[in-house]
Amino acid sequence: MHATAVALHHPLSPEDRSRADFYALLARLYADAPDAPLLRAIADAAPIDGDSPFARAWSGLVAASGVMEVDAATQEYTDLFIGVGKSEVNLHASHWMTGAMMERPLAELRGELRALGIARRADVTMLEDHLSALCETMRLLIAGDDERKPALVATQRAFFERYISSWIFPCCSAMKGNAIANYYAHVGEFTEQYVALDRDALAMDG
Amino acid sequence: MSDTSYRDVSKAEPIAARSPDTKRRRFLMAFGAGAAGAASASALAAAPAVVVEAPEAKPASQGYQESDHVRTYYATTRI
Repeated sequence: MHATAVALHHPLSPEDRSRADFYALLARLYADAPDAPLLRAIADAAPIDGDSPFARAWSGLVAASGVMEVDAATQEYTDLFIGVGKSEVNLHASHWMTGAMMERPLAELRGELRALGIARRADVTMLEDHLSALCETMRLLIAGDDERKPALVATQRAFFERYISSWIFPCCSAMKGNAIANYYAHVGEFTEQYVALDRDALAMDG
Repeated sequence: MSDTSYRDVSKAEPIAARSPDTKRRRFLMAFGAGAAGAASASALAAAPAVVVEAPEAKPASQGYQESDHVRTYYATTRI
């Protein structure tokens, strides 16, 4: 893709604009450890109103971003998600959906992506069922881009229920419960609360 | 949005008549998900690294195709 920022290709409601932004942020945080500019940007982000678990999870992530050292975040990301042989916390949906990587869920997901006109970039090694890639797919479905309109909410919901909410909660629990997790405990908590919110919101359509 | 309701929800309509999408958006807004919270952070986050538009696949040609073994077969059927 040529886009270097989430440019507004199609008019979105503020709520869907926000959803796309949250998925973009999660995609980035799970692709790699945050660098200093990203930590600063999160630390400076506006709070979310209210006292919901979602609002509190956001403020926890914002606060953690303000005190986290880049080197420590990088080490933590590596230790948690990039094990030699077996990572502490596996971020691939297939692992959680069947207990092993590269089984049917990945093949089904590739078929689903093909049907949606989406593919993995040829120059990346990350698998399509990696949490980062799945969040990026949601962002693309919600916001569209130069070549596609925003997807119907029913399309978003079907993808979300099959490939995200079906497995992500135990993964987030594993993240939060892992002794190595510090910054990523906050990322995991925010992920859990945000996905729960979007699950409930998507379930309202039709 | 392709699923925008064409109802004008600013008119006095009963709550029950509002589209599901309006309910969904109001729900999100009530939890602050309409706020600018992630906007500034996501601006740095959004370098799509993984997914792209799939190129338009050439339709695989279906049905009969002449090939060497087919020609050979037909050659053997000539009386």
